[in-house]
Amino acid sequence: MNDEISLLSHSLARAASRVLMEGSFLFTLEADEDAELPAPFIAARVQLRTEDQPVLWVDFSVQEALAVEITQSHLGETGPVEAEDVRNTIAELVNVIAGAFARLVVAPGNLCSIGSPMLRTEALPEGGAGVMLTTDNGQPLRVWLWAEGQ
Amino acid sequence: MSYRILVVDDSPVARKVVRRALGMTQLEIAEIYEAGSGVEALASLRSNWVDLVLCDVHMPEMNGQELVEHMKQQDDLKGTPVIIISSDTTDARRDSLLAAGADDYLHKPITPERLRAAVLCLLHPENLT
Repeated sequence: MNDEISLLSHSLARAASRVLMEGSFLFTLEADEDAELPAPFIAARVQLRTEDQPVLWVDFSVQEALAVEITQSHLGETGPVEAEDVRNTIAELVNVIAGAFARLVVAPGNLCSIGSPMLRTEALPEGGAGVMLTTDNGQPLRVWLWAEGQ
Repeated sequence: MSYRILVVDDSPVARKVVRRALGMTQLEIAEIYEAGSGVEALASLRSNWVDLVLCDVHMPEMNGQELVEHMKQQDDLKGTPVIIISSDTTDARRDSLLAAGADDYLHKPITPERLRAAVLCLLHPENLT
């Protein structure tokens, strides 16, 4: 199962890269999987139920400064943005990333269900797998995937 | 021709993003109404004249598919076109929503170009360039 999650996490990274490019004009590269995401960061997770996979959780973590830049890009703002908008943007993004990921892993014809995204304040669970990404100007972010109950 | 558009999404940021995208379409927008669920959308539709509904799928209380199905059963609402804007990119979900009566289905993140084309295709196909 862990090998499968590890493989799926790379599909998740591809989905995240595509979403960030389309929605935020951010180009990302996969970085060293052991790299750390320095605090402070904002994380959000969402549950993905499919007909052909175990129940999965998709997590997206991004440093606060980059989260602000992403929010400015999404809202077309050049000045300060409200902290609530930043948190909501990251929550919305994990939702969109999960949807793009589903297209890569859900068998044609099968439905999936994406839950309500929520901010994550607790530590990531054991047993998942993730991929570190860096933007083209070197800012780190991370996607993480785990199966419920694993 | 200016349009009155109802944006339905439980995420306030997603509604802002759609508002921004509409502002960049170069379409003439008379009014943008917002609703956070299908239930709120129906209340808005009963009190406002709307040319088009832009609607998310996964929402509390009444989701996008339930809203479309409800609208298509109402004589006064079934003619109002609905474009689904969803993070769910699976073909099965798209097919399900179109079968329920949605008029088009766009994936998030949306772009002003795709939104403009979808709106014109539904409301003014003769102006689609």
